[in-house]
Amino acid sequence: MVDGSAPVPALEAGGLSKRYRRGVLALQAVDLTVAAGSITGLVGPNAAGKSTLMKTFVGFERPTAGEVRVHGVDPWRDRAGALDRLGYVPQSPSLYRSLTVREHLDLAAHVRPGFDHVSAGEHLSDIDIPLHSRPSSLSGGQQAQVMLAIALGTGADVLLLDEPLASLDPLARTEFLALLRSAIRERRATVLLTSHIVTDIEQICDRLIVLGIGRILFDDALATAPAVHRALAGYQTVPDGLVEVGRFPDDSGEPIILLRTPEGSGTASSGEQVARPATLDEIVKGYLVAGRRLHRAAATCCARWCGSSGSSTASSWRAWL
Amino acid sequence: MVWLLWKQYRFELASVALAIGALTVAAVWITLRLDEIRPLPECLEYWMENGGNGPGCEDVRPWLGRLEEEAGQITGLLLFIPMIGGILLGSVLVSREIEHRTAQLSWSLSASRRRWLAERVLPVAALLAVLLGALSIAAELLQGARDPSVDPRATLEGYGLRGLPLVSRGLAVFSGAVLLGALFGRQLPALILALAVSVAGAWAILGAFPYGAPTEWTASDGGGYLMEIPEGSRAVGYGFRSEDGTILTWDEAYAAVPTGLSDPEQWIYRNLTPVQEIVRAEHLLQIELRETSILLAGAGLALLGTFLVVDRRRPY
Repeated sequence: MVDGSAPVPALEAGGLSKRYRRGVLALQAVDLTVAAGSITGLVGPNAAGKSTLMKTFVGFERPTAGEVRVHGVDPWRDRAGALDRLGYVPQSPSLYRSLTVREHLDLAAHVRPGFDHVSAGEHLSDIDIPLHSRPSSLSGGQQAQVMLAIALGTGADVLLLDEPLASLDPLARTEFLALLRSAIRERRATVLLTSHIVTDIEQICDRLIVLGIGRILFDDALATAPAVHRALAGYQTVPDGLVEVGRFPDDSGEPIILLRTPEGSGTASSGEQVARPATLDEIVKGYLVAGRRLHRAAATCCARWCGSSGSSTASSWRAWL
Repeated sequence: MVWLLWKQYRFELASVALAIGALTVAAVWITLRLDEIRPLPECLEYWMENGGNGPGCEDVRPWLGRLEEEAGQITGLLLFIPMIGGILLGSVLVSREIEHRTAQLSWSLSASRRRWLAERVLPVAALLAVLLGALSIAAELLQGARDPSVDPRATLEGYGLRGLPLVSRGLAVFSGAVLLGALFGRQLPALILALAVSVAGAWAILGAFPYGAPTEWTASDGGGYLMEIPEGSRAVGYGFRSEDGTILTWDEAYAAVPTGLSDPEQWIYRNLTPVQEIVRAEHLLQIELRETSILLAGAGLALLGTFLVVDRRRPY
């Protein structure tokens, strides 16, 4: 920056909370900064708040508390300013049944100034999606590809991809990720991608965020996360020099303990030699279990304290829940 | 954009265009058939007075037959088709986008949802206005053929089934249905509710006739109970005039006469003269403009509401 100030993050959320009308708290005091040019994977179980987070960035959901910004612009106050920088792929393909793929591109070109009709069409032709076909004749994967091509055609420098891989078979996922990867390389776009599938995140992202119970449970670079986490199989005591994150069964039902080195400690310790390096999948599961455990503990405390309305302890637990 | 709009709503657009177009053609065709054998005014006059063909008048009976069989069927449709057309087009315009979740795509691409909405509402409203405009002209011609002795612009006969109100009613219903579709975001509830609201609205708007245009209380020359009103006028109220000139309602008059005089004919002898409140045909244009203004103002408000709703609501 010429003036010496910090660069404006592509995406920013500060103290973001979202409570739906029925009282469901989807997001609780989420603080998040996504640097321009980064590719961030957002992982979490169903109802973790991933889609809600995405939708607040697009301006589809209004924060109950806190704020979100897209390149410094609040999408709720200046929708045009925020959308101008965004390309969005919603969770379920939102294509018009009656329009062909080409007509979708025509529509996008009409409503979005600067939409690159030609390159979007070329992307789709490259992966053998006929432009004259209708969504009903396309597979779920192809529909997701069309949505991605439209998002890429906008030329937006921030792409929000909300579980675009959910309904895709392995081959379609690979093709989707290849298309995304080449597009990102071309334009150095910022990507926030939600997924249930950790291996997909591993393939493309440089940062991982685990979201559960509406909170960020883990947020670290993919390159450094495995270095500070260890997995221990079986019922064992936690070795010295490591901190337990969570316990969960592996695919065979064998218990796994996810451990991490305490912040600020060196890399070598006796505990680290006992435990093996954790996989990304284990890191995600460990933090999700930890989040669930914390939520249960808070619920138990609330059951005890929340009845006494007005006390600061009660309101603290209520706020947590 | 218009082409894409057509592709998205072709069933509704084609159905409404076909229905209104067919009704327009039918109205013109019946007008021509009536004009074909239109009897002379003196023949019609003779028929009205004597109930049969006058000397040299053979065409009155077949003409009346066509009038009753063909023109009568059209009249009912003229009341409902504009309303149904407006509901069918309006209720799906935004609700389908929300229900099918395609609004997520459009609204994430379009910087201005207002522009997005305007680009769908205005062409469809324009099409509806053109179709209903043609129908209203055809209905006006039909009115002229039904009563050849009176200029259709000089009678309140068939008011609302021709002329400007036919267009404005359709547009008002359309705008209301668009608003309901945006509010509910679901096609079927929007359609059903739009139908219910339109029926209630029609009842209210018909009840408000003549929309503040001048009216007058008249009594028949003979002071009798059954009165004729001036040609082309329409009665909008009934009552009794007391000796001091006060207009009494039926209930007030009934309370004023001695018990036992249940027949209003007898009330005359108690110095209560039956009177009718009428609006004269010369106010036709004024009434049409007033109703149109009310309906278009309502339509404008509904569209304004739709813009606000679309601007704030979720696309799902």
